[in-house]
Amino acid sequence: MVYTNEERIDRIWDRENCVQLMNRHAIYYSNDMRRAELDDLWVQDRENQKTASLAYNNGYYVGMDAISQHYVVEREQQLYDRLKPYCQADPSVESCRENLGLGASAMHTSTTPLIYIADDGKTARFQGYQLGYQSVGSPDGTAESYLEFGLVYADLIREEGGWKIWHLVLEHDHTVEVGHAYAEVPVLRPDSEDPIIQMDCGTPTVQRTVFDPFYGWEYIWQDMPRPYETYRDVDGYGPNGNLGKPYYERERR
Amino acid sequence: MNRELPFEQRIFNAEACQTVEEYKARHAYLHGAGYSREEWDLMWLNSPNTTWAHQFGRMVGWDEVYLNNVFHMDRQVVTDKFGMMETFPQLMGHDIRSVCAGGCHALTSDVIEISDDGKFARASFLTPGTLMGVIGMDGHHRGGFWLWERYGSEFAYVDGKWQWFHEQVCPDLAGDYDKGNWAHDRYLDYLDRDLTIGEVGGRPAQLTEPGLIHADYSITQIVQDTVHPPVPFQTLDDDNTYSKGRTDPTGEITIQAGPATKFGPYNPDENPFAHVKARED
Amino acid sequence: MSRTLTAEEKLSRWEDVREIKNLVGRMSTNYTIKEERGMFRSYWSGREDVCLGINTGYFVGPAEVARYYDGEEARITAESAMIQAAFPQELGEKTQEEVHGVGMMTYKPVDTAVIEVAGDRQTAKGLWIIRGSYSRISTGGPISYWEWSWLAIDFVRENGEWKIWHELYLTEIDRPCGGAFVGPETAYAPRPEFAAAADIHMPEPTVKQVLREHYSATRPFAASPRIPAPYETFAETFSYGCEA
Repeated sequence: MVYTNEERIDRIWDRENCVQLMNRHAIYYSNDMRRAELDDLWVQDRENQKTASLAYNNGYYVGMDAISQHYVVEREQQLYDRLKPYCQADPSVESCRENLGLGASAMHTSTTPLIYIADDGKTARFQGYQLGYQSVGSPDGTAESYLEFGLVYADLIREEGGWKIWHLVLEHDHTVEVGHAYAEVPVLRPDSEDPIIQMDCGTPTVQRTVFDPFYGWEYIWQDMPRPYETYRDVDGYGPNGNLGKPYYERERR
Repeated sequence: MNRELPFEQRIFNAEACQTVEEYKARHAYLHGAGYSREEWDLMWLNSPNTTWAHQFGRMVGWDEVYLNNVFHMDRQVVTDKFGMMETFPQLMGHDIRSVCAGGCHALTSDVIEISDDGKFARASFLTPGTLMGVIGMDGHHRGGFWLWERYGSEFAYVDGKWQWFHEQVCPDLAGDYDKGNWAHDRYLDYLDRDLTIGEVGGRPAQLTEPGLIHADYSITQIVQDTVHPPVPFQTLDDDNTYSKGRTDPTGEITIQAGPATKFGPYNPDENPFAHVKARED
Repeated sequence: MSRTLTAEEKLSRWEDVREIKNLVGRMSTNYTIKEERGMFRSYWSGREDVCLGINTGYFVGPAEVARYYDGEEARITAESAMIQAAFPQELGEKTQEEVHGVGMMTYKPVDTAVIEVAGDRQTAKGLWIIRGSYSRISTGGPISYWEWSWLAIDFVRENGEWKIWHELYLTEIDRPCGGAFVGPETAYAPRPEFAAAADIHMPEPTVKQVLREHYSATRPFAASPRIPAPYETFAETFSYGCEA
């Protein structure tokens, strides 16, 4: 493609804005600002919301209603559940929204961005790497703290308000309990027994293996974004894409 | 960043900065997945002055860089995977290079400058890297390995595209998640004369300029400013490079370097890897 | 910003973002090469109202911010001297400058940048995450720590260069590696060669105020500093500086 100088600058900014959009996601996610994240960073166009998706290792939440139910509503219930022991230990601690997150901490980074804007300028494909941690406390002063690692993929789409998250995939590679050697975790521990998977992933609407940590980055060459003309579902990071599928189930590019 | 350049040159330089980010990220993922050939074939400059340096010294020339980073990397990866398959037969039939891979030299603290002449890019990074594997390096246990490194990277605009020219890797720390206290443990090891320095990069099969370029951390290690962040520069030269003497993409050598720590005459007797180099691979 | 920017303006604004990334990347690397002593001179504004906030309060004004960095430098010098004295065979012959920062390792990698340049391009705001690890000399010898912090900065343009105006450096996790994120820390037996570590103290902030408690299992949830949002002039937005 040959672009005018003006178009070249716009594409430079597109790339920058997409990276910063994903950085904002990491910060909102760290802050547990999930409702605000869906309002500020995710697609607002009704048609795009129907096909929006959020995926973890175990499948896809498809459509903004399902995403919101899992990402916001179920999360809030989880936070209320975590607050209960504090309320029981100290009756002066109210079970109210202001106290959610008591004794908890999380930070999720966004590093190593690899991003391409489609030739038609309408969508972008993103890959990044998240190094983070989350910690959940107990009223006795102890906490369960985990370092977590994983690839992040996203399809971003240009809407009237700028670039928005359309399909987001938060893959999870490894969970290391803080202060405990990772080598002590059994090699063949099922993904479902991983504490981060248990805490974060829920029961997706489309259940299929999106990422299997045992086989690791086997398909990264096929999955990583590369220059492209226009968005196609099969290349995308939504439920109709190839993530997690073996070679023989993938449509050849 | 020079804002006095012509408008079109400034656009070119902005795009170049993003290309550096793109190449470094692609490298991080392809290296993590063991896809060396794809990386070197797509992004690297085939020049006699192409260099790739690590703790152990400097590989010089495309052939040597390719030999170590592709051929020998592939051999190592495949050997490791065959070993894993003996223990975990369910891995058979999977991609022998990338299966079970999952380490990322994550990129942070980037500083990027493009030369005023538009022909070169220089960049520095820090990495809070990971070498993680559900099956670790021993083939039996999970592997959770951190690797804190600094990178100095240089790129040349040749034949109408940016190509990777020099890489200097500076490992400072490696250790297991989340086992022990690295500063205290390495201190005790030092006192016990049990601390190994200079082993983080392994042993390349062939190395023109061996020498300890950058030592990993110890209690007596003085500060090493091995890959200082780039500053605005006119062009790649021996005052603005991570690969002195090898700044000309066409192959002219400005400083005859030997063991990399000295940049003096090369003395094969000082080569600590001579026995490795002599091995027939 | 509502008005349409020219191509030149758009490009200049992107160059602003890149220069800010470079500034913070250089500062991050300075920690690794133990050059905290040059940071104030290299990166900070010459304004009288510069301000540095840490967990326990603000250093307000250039002399006070410089005092903070002087404290960092004094610690490095004192730790270097202890290590040199402890290893006379390896380090005894070296000058004070040669051993400056010996035996220390500090990684404060910055990532997850969100940067907004004001519409008038006179100021900018940025927010980063630091996911680092560093060593420090204690009376029990060298100890390494995990560090997770928020770095929030207001920048101001001075003589065509971006400089730090207000900085918030707020640490969430600052705990010894290999141990829990909460609860008592591992006690290391005192070592006489490092007894002087007990005398190392960092300067107290000018304005003592708890800007952030370190994480504990009984602390309310603490979000990041405010996330930069688009703005036209600094008067329209919030400040990372000391409100007092």
